[in-house]
Amino acid sequence: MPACLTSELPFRIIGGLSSGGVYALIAIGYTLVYGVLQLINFAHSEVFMSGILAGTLFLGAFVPAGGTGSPLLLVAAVIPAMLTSGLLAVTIERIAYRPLRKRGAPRLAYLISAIGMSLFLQYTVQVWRGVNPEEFPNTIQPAAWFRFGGVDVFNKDVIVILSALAMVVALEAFVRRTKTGRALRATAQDAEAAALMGVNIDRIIMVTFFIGGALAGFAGLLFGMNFGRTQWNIGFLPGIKAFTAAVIGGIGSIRGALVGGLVLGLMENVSAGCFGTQWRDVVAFVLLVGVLMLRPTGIFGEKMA
Amino acid sequence: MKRRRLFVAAVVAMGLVALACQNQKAGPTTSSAAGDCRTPPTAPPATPGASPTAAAKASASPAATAAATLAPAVTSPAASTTSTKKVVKLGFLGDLSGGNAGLVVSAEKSAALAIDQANAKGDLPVSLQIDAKDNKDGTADTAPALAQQLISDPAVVGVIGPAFSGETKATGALFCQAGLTDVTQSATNPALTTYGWPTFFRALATDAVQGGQDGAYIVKGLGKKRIAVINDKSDYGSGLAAAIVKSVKDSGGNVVLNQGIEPTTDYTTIVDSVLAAKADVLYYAGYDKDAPLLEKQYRQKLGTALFMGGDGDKGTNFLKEGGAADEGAILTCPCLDPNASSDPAAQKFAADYKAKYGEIAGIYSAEAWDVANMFIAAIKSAGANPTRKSVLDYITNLKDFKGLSKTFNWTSTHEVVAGDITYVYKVVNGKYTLLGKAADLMGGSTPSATP
Repeated sequence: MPACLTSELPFRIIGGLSSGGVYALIAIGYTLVYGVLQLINFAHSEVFMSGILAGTLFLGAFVPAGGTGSPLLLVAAVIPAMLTSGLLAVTIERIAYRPLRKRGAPRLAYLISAIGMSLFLQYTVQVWRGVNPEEFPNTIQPAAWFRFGGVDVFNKDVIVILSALAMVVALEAFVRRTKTGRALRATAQDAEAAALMGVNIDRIIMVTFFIGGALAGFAGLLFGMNFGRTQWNIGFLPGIKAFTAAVIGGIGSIRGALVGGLVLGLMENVSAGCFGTQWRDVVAFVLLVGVLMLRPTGIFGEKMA
Repeated sequence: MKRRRLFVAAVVAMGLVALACQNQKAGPTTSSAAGDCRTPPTAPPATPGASPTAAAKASASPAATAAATLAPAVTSPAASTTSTKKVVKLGFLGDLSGGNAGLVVSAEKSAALAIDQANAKGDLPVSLQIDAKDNKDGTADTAPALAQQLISDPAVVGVIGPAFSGETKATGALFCQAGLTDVTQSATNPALTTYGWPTFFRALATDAVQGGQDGAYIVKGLGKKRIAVINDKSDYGSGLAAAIVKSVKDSGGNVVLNQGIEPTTDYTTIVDSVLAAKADVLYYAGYDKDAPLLEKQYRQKLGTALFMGGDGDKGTNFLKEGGAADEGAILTCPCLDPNASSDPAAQKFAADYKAKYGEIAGIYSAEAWDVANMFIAAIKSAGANPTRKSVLDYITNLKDFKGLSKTFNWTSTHEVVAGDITYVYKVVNGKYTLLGKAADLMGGSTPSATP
């Protein structure tokens, strides 16, 4: 057995769950929007980026450069990060998608509009914040919390994994238990019928974008905390990976987004250990192509949970 | 349902293409046969469609034609009989505002300082200016267009730079075709002088020299045995990493990890590999835009290995972003830190620099100063009408030119004779402190890996 499947495996599992948790949170944004509108919101990477940026600006106001702030500040930063991203996602829907929806534009028009929006947001931030990376203020002193399979597990990884899981569970509960959640599922099943039953479709779409955006903002905060940096184009790769995760899990399914994210994160990290880090992205996309060929609807199928 | 799948598949394909484009930046490194003005075969397509021989012989590429039409204007300048001094320019090419600007800006400032002082002295027969081209982030594929701007300005008689190896590789053939001399103060990929460009010179030691001395220093000087070498897959990083891996092995050390990773935000997988390998030195061969991030993510997992890096890491951003994580890190550089030198000329330069810019002279400042003064001497010797050809002749035949960093004589491949010096710096209290020359720090044993 190679070392990557024996002694190194615990490192890879923790690293994989940690990246996978972030992918899952972003993937939910793709999946929710797709479930309701059958539309891939390619500006979602920038929604994620706005979350990191909001966190950076908020924390930067309290934490001196190079210093470490209180962990409570990070908890407080959840609100600006989720609000910023949620509102940005709603704004994107209002500007880039709703006018097309009202005119019954073809599917391709949405895609072009999404890419345009994505580039617009990236370069706006580039002009505003500059091309150089900015530091994401540190709020967590590194520490090993417990041991797993003979290796240390660090606090930041635990925070990322647990809070990502908690968010997904909370979202499931929201979609299953609340009235708005039921309306959301109804819209996903059949928008026209839902409208006839008195569901305000425009409102549900706004709610969908807001939730997806807020979760991406939360993911952004976790990403910033874990990796310590932000930049105008930081959303690109995690965005594409999360989209991959959504497709692997079955786009349109919330559980699929979670499972897809975790599977992708684990596969990436284990393969990076076995074949070298340069293979990480290759394996991710081979996995995607494999799933599309063998089970095009993904692990959980294309249904809204 | 079917259309939906098709749509998803199309979207995925687009994503893949976009990703592939993002990752295309790093060009592989291979050397090519020597010959006049050839574009290295694997360089970004500076001369689209033209094979190396075609570019050299038939002037088929637009770049070559442009150079050919310009050449007469340059070699026989219209000697307008005005009484005012003719304006002559020295070009500068490098990243002045992007992520790697911390490795380039102080070189540009030093060159500007040298030119200012030369003009102020009053004995220059021409009025000299610097024409600095900002190649944001120092990427190779954007360099040729800027090089072309310098080439098409007949007042430009020499170029300081390009700053990075990838940029140099992508522009060398263009400068060569235009007969424009470029002397780099910081591009250290060893292959650059094997392309046989008669116009290209290098004012400092290569990565092969540096890597060779670094590996021996790590094993013999520091007594470390388990070395992890990570490179950023750039021309510079991969070349330096290969040299270190070889010299660590030659010196009896153990390379426990040798991997390339393109600059990213998420270094999880590589950090885990370093931890799993139980390395006691983590050497990053890359640029200072990325080094502190890798270092911090490694320290975040309580990794204890000594962090080391080459000259690419020794910029201002390393100290700024690395903060406390930097303490004790060791960086090596073929460059002289004028602030740490005991030579009075270097001290005067450091003082002048500080007086003019209000900050201490940074990396490659001494080398850029030397290169600028070399060009100034060439221009002075040509009288009122320096041409690209007169400058090239002067630089080519340079004899015992006394600079701050070293005394310059060129080898047949345009490297500095006996220029194989690597300085070792340690981060102490958030500042680079000179420990000495790597060759002197090995406890008596002489470095074996230097050519």
